[in-house]
Amino acid sequence: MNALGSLVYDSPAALARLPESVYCRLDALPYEPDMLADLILNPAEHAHWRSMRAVEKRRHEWLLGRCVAKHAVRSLLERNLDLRLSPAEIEIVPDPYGRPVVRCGADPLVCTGTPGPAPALSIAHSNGTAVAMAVLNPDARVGIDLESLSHRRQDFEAIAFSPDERYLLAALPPNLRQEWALRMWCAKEAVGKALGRGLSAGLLAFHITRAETANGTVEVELRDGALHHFPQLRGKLLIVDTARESDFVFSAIIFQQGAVRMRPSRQEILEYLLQKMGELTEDWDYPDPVGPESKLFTGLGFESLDAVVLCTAIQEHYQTPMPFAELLAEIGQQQRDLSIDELANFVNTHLGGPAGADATRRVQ
Amino acid sequence: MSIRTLLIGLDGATFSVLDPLMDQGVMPFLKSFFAEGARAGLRTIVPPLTPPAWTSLMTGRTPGQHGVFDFFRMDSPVSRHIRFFNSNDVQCETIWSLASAGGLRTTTINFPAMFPPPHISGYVVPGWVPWKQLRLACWPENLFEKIKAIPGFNQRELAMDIKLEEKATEGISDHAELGPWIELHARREQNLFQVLRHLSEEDPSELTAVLFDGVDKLQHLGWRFLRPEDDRPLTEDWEFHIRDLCLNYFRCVDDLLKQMCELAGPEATVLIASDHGFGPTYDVLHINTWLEQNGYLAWSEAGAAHDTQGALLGVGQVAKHTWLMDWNKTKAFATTPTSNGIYVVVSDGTSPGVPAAEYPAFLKKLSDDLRTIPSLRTGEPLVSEVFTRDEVFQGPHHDAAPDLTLILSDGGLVSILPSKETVSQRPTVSGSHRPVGVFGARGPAIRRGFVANELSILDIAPTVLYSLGLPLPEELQGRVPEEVYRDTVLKEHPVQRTAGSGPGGPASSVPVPGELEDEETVLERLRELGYIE
Repeated sequence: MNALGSLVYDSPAALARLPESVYCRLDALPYEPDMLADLILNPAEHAHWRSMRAVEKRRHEWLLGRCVAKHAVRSLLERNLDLRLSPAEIEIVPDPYGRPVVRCGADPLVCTGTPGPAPALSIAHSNGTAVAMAVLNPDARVGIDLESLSHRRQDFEAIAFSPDERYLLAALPPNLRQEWALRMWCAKEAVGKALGRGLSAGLLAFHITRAETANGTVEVELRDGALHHFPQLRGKLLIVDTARESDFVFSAIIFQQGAVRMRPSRQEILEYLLQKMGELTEDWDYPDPVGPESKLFTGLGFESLDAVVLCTAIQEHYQTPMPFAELLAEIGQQQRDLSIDELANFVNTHLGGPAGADATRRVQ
Repeated sequence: MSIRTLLIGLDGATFSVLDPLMDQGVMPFLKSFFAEGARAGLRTIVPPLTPPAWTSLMTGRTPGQHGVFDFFRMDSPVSRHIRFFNSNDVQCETIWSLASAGGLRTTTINFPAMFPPPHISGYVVPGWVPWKQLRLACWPENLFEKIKAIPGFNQRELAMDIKLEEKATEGISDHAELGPWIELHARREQNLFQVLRHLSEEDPSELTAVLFDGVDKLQHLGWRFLRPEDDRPLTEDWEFHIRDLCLNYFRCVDDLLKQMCELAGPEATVLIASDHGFGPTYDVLHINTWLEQNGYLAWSEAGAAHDTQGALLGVGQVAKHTWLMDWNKTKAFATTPTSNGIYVVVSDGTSPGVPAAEYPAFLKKLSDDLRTIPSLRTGEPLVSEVFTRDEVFQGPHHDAAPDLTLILSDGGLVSILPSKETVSQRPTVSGSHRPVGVFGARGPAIRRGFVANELSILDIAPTVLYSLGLPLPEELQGRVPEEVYRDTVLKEHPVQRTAGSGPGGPASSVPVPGELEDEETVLERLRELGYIE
């Protein structure tokens, strides 16, 4: 049995597929705090521990976090490099933005006399539980977060999310809503940690474009505040895995190939719509060619329910709720038509596309 | 593989129509079906309406549990825009998903709340999908190509034509249109059967189900031809002609029932069910006009100027109605002409509406006022029941339900458009929904010639699962009607139950927001980030 009897290495199922990572969780300090600090902290960390002026609960959570972090790193190095280090040989120091960095002595490459990469690490704690995730890939960025589901204030959504994100939440089944609000929050935190600057760019800079209840993923797109430091992530979606275990919600992301995918371009959206409309009109023996300027109602003979079903199918295809009811009500009120091109603009905008000239062109 | 259970839905079927047709020899097969099996009245849920009722039949749960209350729903809890219902609104397991989970295949044709199609094992041809979009709606994705290849395939006469559906609620003024419309519905049921037969012969499913919804449509518009005793005797030639066409429709359904039972074979359990019953309706309650005249609602300029022609509102128009109201002054309103639901605008402290503290008293006064509206025909109260959502929609989706649901004494549906009068009389009797529909069962395990006491629509899902040999999840609110089975069947094959909640499980699994140490953590974080002071 591990000396830390309550140490959990099994990550929540949805996080387990994150590659080549080690996850650790502790639900309580396994020893009296000062004794534990003596056992696992190196002199510099120990000095920090003694000088911490936070309330006892915060000090204990910090120590709990160091405990799981060191165990995650130790396990990772042992598993992958056959290195066996004591906890005190692993130093975890914050970088200038607060991101935990692993050091073994002065340099991770020489601390044991064996060359090896420094693991990437992320730590989170909430309500007396701490988790850590360590990844060997030196180019990877890792972010993990957890939050307790209990005691969540009722106006949490209003405080934490943009109107578009609240729209996503509203589309979820009511009984999943509170849990998924927290998953979405945790997803932002995980991305912020993985990028190394937390949420300092502002909550709106971490825009959630999709919450997929079928597989637990949340997609985050960076907006201006965060893109300033990460311009290469413009137009890309960061896929965060989330999970729930008993009263906790977890999130984790490891930035490497596969965690980032491209948002469909406006042109791809238009092509998809034209392809679908082409198939449909062939079924009706519609005689005229269908193009971007084809009008749904006066041209293709749509009834309102045709538009509703098409819009629902589009939402299903992109797995993203969009305010089609509002669009269709507005069309009805103004008694105007909608072209396929304009529909592509609408979809593009609500998939988080740039509001360029095409996207903002007024629907006639 | 063969069909183990055949479920035939007859939308709106009622014994007050079927019994005379069986007696008159119009539906000989149905008569023999009941003689060889069991029958009962089937009480539906509140409201007795197609989407929530069929969803209750498919899930064995009430609307507060499954989440479907109407053809329409608010786009989000904070929106006044309404949208058409879809399968994503069904928030719990269905007989289709449970059969799939149990390793069985399902073919389901023309049931509502099936689009977007659930990715079950088998085939889905959803109902309530316009014919032009049918390709997008079938599951698996290649199914449309498969059925398109059926000889004589007619997409337009298989799926829904919304203009024709609107006739069922708005009425057909010209009787010359009525005949072709009735004949179309007969052809439509035949087309649905052709799809069922093709799939069952090529690749049968243990659970095979089809819904014929022309029954409902014909009864809405043709009630006086089917039951002239509820209005006045037929006198004109064209009236007798329309009656003939109505009876031909039921002859067609009877023939399809026969063919489907032959297809399923003698070992299959065949279940017949309707989502609600039917009866005559005479009055129209213009509910929003009544709310306006009694100080609960205010029209916008657009609403005040709105053309009041037409007593009822078609499906395609419903989404537009919200701009007819003045939301600064409206406290209660009806959003749809289908569910008889009234929503109350509750103020959040700053917005217009009823202050939360006054909500219970407001509901009571509104309910009491509604009960005083007299029927033009009888002088008796037109609103026979006013249910609060606490009374009839308990469950995790309670908050999405209308605050009040009205039951009219003649089973009618309200009109939501502005009108000059609060109650008007229909020019002729129409058909409208009633709470008790029909149930029938036949098969090796079913008693012969047995007439059971009234069953619940919630009993159908347990009965389907039991007939498939599957265990019943404990969340099901109905029961297997043991009385319709032969004596030894339940002893030899006892009902098995299983724990576990599917999607949209019981409300108790939802964490309750509370007090709130952790809110401080959230606020602290947001404070640190400069988002709040």
